[in-house]
Amino acid sequence: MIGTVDHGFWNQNSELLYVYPLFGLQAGTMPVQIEETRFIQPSWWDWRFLEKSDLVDTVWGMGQGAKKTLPISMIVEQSWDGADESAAVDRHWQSADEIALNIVIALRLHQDGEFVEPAFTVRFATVGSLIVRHPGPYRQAFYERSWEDPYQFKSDCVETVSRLYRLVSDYRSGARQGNLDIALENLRLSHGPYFDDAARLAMLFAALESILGSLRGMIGGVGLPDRVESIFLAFECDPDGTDIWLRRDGREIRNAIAHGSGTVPAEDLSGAVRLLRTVIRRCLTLFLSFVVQWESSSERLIRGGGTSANHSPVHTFNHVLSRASGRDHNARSLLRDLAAFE
Amino acid sequence: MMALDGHELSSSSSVPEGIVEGHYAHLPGTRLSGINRAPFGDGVLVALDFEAWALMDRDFDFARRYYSRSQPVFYYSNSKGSLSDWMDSSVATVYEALLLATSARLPTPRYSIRYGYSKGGTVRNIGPFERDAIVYGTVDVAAVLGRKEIAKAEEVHTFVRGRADAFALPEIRQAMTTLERTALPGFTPLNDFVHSVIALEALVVPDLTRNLRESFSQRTAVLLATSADEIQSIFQRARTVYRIRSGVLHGKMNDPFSVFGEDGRAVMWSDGRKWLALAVLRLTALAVAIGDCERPLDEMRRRLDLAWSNQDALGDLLRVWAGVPT
Repeated sequence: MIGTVDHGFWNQNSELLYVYPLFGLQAGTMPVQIEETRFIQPSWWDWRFLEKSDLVDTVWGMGQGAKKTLPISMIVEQSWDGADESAAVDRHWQSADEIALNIVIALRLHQDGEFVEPAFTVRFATVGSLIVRHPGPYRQAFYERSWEDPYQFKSDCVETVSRLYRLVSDYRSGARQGNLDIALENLRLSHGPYFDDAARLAMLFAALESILGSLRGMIGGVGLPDRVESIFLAFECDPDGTDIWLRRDGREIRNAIAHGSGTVPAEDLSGAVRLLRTVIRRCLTLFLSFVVQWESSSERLIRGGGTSANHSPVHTFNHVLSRASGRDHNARSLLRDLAAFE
Repeated sequence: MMALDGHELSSSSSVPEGIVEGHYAHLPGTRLSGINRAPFGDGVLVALDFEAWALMDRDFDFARRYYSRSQPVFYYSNSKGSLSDWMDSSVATVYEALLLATSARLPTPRYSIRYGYSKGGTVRNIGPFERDAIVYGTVDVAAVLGRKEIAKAEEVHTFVRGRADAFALPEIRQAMTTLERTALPGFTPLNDFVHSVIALEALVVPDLTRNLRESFSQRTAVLLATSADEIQSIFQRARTVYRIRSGVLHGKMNDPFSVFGEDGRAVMWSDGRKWLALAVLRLTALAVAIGDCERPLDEMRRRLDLAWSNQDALGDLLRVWAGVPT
């Protein structure tokens, strides 16, 4: 869908800009820079020129949009040589989408909170007099939404999100691991709009098991809850009963969801979503760091797990966790270094 | 367009031309091919043209060009009750039949719009896709429905409606939930496959902790075969499916496509969802054949095990499967 800009923020420079609205995300001072990406608060006029004005007027009523809060948006800038606008937009969509997705993953790994991924709502590109819109399936659904637990993107998030972004970018530009991709996708989907908590848990258990194996499985003689405890200790955090929950309630809830058996009180489900997300955020951050390290040099990792180069990264990762659970000093030290992921 | 505003349908299988009073639910992810309307269940599948749709929804009268490209399909029936009740009963069954018959990634109609149209006005009930799935086609077309596909879906619809109690079994509901959930936007084919196979495992091997791959493959082979000749080949494919599932989930297989080439892609796309859908239909038929039973799924799995090694037991199951639409 193509429109033209005749004035406003978007054509005050001659750059090629990709715009990714983040409905739900709340922030303090704008703009904020995360590596090559800017977060901005669009004005009503900015938005009206980006989005179809007749659609916005239909959703909000003619002239009512100026009173509304527009979604904070990510801006990814790409180089433009002044040649054919449409071809330039097409040429850079994919790399801009990759950058935006890496930011989204970094935000999800950093903390809990609601925002909707731009791929679900709408993405824009603008250069010169051209606007291109890529609407997603929930394009209009969040204009009037009230958020129970909005994502709070505060200024003290910037440094950590930047580091996570670099980690995610390093991983996604190198050799990818199928199970890690599945886990990251399921963590993101667990924040997806309109899923109930049972659906979110099905995704979160799939994410957990794709890295740590079955809830009832043993690796190196150590069960999944003890390996989760090793993950928390790597970040110098108290597991706060998470390991115990995984042994008892977690397993029961997992089976109830997978088999449709039994009923679980709604508050237990929502508590389980929060708890599992905390586990998975730490688990995936640590494993991302592990995989990126594995790409450059796997020797220390293999030594830490007591495995061999023939084993997969996730196999070795779990053996490092198991050894750390058995108070192996080297394994614990390795995990702490990975948790720092600088 | 032939405007038939106010024209009453004379029977449940009549096909409305244009628009008539009754309820309309958009079916996201579908498109009709070679026809623009067809009787289905108690109503009609219909690709309403823009003028007909605009009689119910006047806010998007600027969107004719997009709408014409999108070619949205609606389920119509001559109902007069509440839209919610109609969605929970008639449309839910139509949707399940389409989901099972096509095994395509069709998002639930609850996410799009339904209309109650009458001479006195239109009642609208709008889901989170708002009008975009109708106007702009923001949901990918997952099932193109020609006469052949509709005939099969109609057969499944009749089957589902006649076995409501068996379809209400918690394990069956859970499998249906997986088919519905993984049809929503955001799931990649690989993740869809993983969730579908996990759901199939929950149906066939939840009682086991050892030799899962062999047991999964044996029970799945018996469950999905249409004749004794097919069992070995399905058994081998089931082993492949389980190998891909384990390889992906346990990090032993980073790119199943590169390992299995085009076959791997075909296995993922077709076997995950298709097998889960067929398993649901056949286990439902088996539940009916078994009759009253305290733990019907346990009894079904016992019969699957028996049929793997006993020709008579296999013959019994194949006779049950013969009554299931394929």
